[in-house]
Amino acid sequence: MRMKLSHRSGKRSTRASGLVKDWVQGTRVRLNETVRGIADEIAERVIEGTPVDTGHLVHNWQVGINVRPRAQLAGVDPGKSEVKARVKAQNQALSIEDKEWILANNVPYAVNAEYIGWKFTPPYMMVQKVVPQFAEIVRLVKGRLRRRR
Amino acid sequence: MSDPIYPILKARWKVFTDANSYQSVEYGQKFEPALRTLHFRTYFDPNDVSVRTLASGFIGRENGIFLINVYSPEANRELDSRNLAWDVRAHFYPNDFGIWLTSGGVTVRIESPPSVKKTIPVDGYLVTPVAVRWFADLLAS
Repeated sequence: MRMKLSHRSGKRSTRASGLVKDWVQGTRVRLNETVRGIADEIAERVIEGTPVDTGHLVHNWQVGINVRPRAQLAGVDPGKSEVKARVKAQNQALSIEDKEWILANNVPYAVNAEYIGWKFTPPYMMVQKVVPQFAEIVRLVKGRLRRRR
Repeated sequence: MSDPIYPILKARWKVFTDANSYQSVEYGQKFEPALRTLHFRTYFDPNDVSVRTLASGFIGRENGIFLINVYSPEANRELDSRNLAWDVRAHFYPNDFGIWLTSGGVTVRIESPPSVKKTIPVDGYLVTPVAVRWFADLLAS
């Protein structure tokens, strides 16, 4: 009798732990999708707000996951499409376990474009304009994913 | 939407510049500070879309960043520029506590410490940007 009971409860617990495992797995997938969606949207808005002269500044937006990119990339991307695709591809490696997602630009005049501007140009505030939009971005991405499911 | 917000921030900024007789130039104003003199440059012209940082976060609520650049002559030490930037920070976030500025039924809240950025040398000046994050409730009116 005792053995039977423990056998049953064992079966039940296996089924229950399977359900919990599925739930944990599903939640992890959804969270990863959300985090990547947020990263994509932030990067997209920052790149959109980046001024284009030659396209070198645009081309230099780089993603670092837990590590800050230090190199300056050669090349230009005035159309912004190549950099958006590259950043989006890099974001696919992002997961909720990661500690930091860094969007970096190592062009020396990136700081001028962000905070100082030039004689006849105000600062573009490429990143700072996006900071206040964070809550809106999270809501947008969550809604987008909910509709997709 | 942002029109009632900037006069409130400007009034607070004026208190700081008047108390210390500092020169301050708002972007778009015709003003040429004497060469290599300490001054501030501010960017809160609501008509200039390129420096607007408004986000429609919630109904009746806006938030954005008001940027102040401290221009200190290079002959001064970097520390002077940074100290001034920290004074600006303290003015908008006194006693490490946020402030609420209310005027005409609109409340502008500064709830997080303004961020003092890295000092950058530009054309004979040491420039330290200070970014003041603000929130505003517009439904109060």
